[in-house]
Amino acid sequence: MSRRAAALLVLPAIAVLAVFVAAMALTGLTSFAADAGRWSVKHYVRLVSDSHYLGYLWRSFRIAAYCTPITLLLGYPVALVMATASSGVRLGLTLLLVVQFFTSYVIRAYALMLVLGNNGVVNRALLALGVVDQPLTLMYNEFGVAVSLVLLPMPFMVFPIYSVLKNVEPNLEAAATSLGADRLRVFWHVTFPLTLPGVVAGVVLVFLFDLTAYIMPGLLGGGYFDMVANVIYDQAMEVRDQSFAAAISMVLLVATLAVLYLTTRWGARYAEPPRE
Amino acid sequence: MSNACRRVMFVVLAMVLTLALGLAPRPAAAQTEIVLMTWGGAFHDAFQAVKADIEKAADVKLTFVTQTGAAGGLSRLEAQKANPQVDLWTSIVSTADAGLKSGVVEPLPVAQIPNLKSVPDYLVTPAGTAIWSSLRGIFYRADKVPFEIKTWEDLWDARLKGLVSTSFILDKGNFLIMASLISGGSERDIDKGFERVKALKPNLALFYKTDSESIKFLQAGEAGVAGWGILPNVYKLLGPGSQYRFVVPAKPQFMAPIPISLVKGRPNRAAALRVIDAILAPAVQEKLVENLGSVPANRTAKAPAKIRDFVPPLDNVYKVDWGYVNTHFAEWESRWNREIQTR
Repeated sequence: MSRRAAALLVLPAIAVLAVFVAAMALTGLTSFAADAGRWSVKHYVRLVSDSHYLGYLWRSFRIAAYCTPITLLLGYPVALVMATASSGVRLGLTLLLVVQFFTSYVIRAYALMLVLGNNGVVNRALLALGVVDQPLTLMYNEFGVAVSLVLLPMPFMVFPIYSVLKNVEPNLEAAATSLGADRLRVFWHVTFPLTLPGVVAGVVLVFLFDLTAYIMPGLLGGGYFDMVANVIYDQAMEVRDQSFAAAISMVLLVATLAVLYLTTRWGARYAEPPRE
Repeated sequence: MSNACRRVMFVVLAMVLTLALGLAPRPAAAQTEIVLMTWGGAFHDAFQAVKADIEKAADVKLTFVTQTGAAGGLSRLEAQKANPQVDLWTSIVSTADAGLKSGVVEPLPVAQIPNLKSVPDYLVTPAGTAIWSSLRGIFYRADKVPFEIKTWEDLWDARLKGLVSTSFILDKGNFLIMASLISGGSERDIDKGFERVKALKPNLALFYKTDSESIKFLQAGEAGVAGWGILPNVYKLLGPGSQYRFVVPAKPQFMAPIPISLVKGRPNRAAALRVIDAILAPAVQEKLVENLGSVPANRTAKAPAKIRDFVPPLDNVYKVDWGYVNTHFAEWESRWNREIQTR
């Protein structure tokens, strides 16, 4: 292929990237816009000096930080089963995850309400069994949002791990077993390290999904557990303070990029095979 | 096949094609397309029901685009300011005013809309004319609430502990303004409203941001009462045998005029004005409000019989100073989140 043809093929990607960068640049500029066409850092000063708004950033990072490992703990075994089970089981699990993935977030949120709500399956069962005499508050708080942020991004965790797992050379595990390692040691010292690229990809995707969640905290938080995306929306659309919304967005973007950088550095260190 | 044969077939084919094109019905001169941005759900359905009437009267092709909320619609208009894609826009008064200020809406040329003579002056502003007025009240489930709700003050009844949902964002803080009014304040004395809503906290189950959320929470049984209800959205759920009730408390009463605004910078301005006029025609008005359970803007049109069953005489409708609210909304929103929307 000539260099010219290669350059032409890259052009659409460059165009998409340019639109994305331009949007980010405009958001950045908006965050410094002050009254009467002047520039100012006042929106950033307001953000960092107000514990109320910083609190939304903190709670978003906190919930993403603990929901992501839980999703990993629950998702890894699913990926493992998919990679080792019969084609029928694999197809069934894939279908379940794909259907979940393509179902609207709003519908999934209402489905979770049917499980966690005051009249939900869990509370009805607990009341019927006499475990509680009042419905437990499983929603409209951090718990309800956390449950949704563990369950909903599950496909983002399972599929990257599965794609790596299915390519793990079975002879390596067989060799470890033949050398006397039990199944747990084989998994921990052979299988898991080989799947780290998939784990890192899944962790990054789920962390970003959780960090920027909007619909789930909006519906399952019931107004008591808004996250940073909800605040950005409210400031931009309802309060109509686009500059402050842009400032929160830029801080979120920088913090996210920092986390992404650290995660990929960590992933690169552990996921690459040791060199001779 | 010989060359001569091919030539004959080619000529025959060309003749058939020419004949077909000649006989094909010619498209009528393209009608002017007018794009109306409005809400989805009940509002879209109501407009759809009068679409043909409006198209006929205004001689246009009417197309609807959906907005998730009035504020979302305004943001879209602002994003399209250099090249607007919408001719007409329905919203709420405070947002229409903001649209006029930001230059996406042009002042309404009242003289060019004949049916405006039948619309009361207070429903017409430079930002647009009301096309109907939508009642606000309390929407609740009779099977969840142990008594009949009649007044705003009933929301504070201890028997409603953990059953009430409400909203600050919806209708730009109108629930807070109501709380202030029943405590002797107003939008200009909002501290009284905050104190009153703080006292409601034991009864509050959750907060919603959109009217559709308010209905879904009630339907799912997560709340028994939507403390700030919008009648058009729930109108079709009411009636004999229904477990849902809608109350318009006698004092203070809130009725939101729904303005239609003329978007600035579109080529078919005259056609858009004809559409506004067609919407204000009495027959179209009556069809619209029949589907929405609302009060027509045209005084010669009749309100639907069904709302007369539960709507008291509308002689205490409070007129909110939305200009004042707009300038203080950011401060109220921040305070609401800190003082009310916390456990």
